[in-house]
Amino acid sequence: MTVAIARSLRKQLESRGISTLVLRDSDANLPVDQRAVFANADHAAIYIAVHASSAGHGVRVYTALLPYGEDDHGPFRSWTTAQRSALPLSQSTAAAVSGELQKRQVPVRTLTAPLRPLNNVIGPAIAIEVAPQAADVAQLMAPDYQELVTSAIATAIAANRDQLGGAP
Amino acid sequence: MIPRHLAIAMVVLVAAALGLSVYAWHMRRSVVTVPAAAVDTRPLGPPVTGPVERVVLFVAHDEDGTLRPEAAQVPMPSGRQQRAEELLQALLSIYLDKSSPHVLAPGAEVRSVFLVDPGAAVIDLNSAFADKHRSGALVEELTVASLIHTVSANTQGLLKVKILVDGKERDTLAGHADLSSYYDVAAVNQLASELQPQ
Repeated sequence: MTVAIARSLRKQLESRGISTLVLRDSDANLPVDQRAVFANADHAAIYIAVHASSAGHGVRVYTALLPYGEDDHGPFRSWTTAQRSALPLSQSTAAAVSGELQKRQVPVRTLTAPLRPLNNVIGPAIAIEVAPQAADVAQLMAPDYQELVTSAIATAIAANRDQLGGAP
Repeated sequence: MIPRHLAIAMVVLVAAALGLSVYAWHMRRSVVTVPAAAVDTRPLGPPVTGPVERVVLFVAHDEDGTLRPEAAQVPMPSGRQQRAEELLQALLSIYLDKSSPHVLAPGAEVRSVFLVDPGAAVIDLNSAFADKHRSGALVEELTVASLIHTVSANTQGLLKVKILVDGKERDTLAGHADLSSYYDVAAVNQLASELQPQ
């Protein structure tokens, strides 16, 4: 299901002229550290982690909850707090995504969360957790619902393209 | 010649014996099919001594994904560490209750809490807590925020909290919530306010 939502998001982003790199395009698992390594090496304009859940309603948009301490040492970034300098941009992007979802009448919450690898990514990074709008879990599988959510995310990313910079 | 009333009594007794046999056979089958409850091998600790105090627990509610402050009366020992353990035991008793607002797996336990100066706490969970925890970003975040915020709100001077499982480091609680680093108490306090009911 997560892969289906990620593919839908990729389609929506590319239809807006934004190139994408999907790190997990099958059920094969990629370690979280490796995902951050790919995102950092690729200088991605934004890293978006996609999750699906039957708990709760609507969409949750997360930004990193940074762990305690671990400051950078000279030119070396701390791995666990690599997100620190990009966090304001991650938060403004999360707010833009939430705004677009609200415009489409999708219940949405914006939260910080201790979700790896968000704190290991040096550029803007958000996570999306998609739940059904009501009690019907089958809605998660519905292409219409997935498209409603992913088109909102893609619209917000496209609108913030100038601020995000990088190579999306 | 057997008197008629004795014959009737015999028939009734034989019928009753047959009925009881069938009933006993049925009961035996149903007892065999019910799995035996797991034996609770946890050692019984000494009863907690100390005055009952009013404390605030931060209880996760799955129905709306919120963290709500709830007052409770808990017998609190004098030691800081034991107090923190009692707070989490009280919290877990809510989660393990039949009417739990945020279900944890049976057998989930906080093994111990260590308070290490300056300002660090280590919460050690058992493997049943983590291995059988439901997977999901929000559901795991609610558990972590509930544990940390309950301890930090009732323990002065905490700056950072680490969560272990069976005394060992672990990457995530159930695939999402990060357990690899120390949690920043100030950041979790901010998260707790985000998770308050609107």
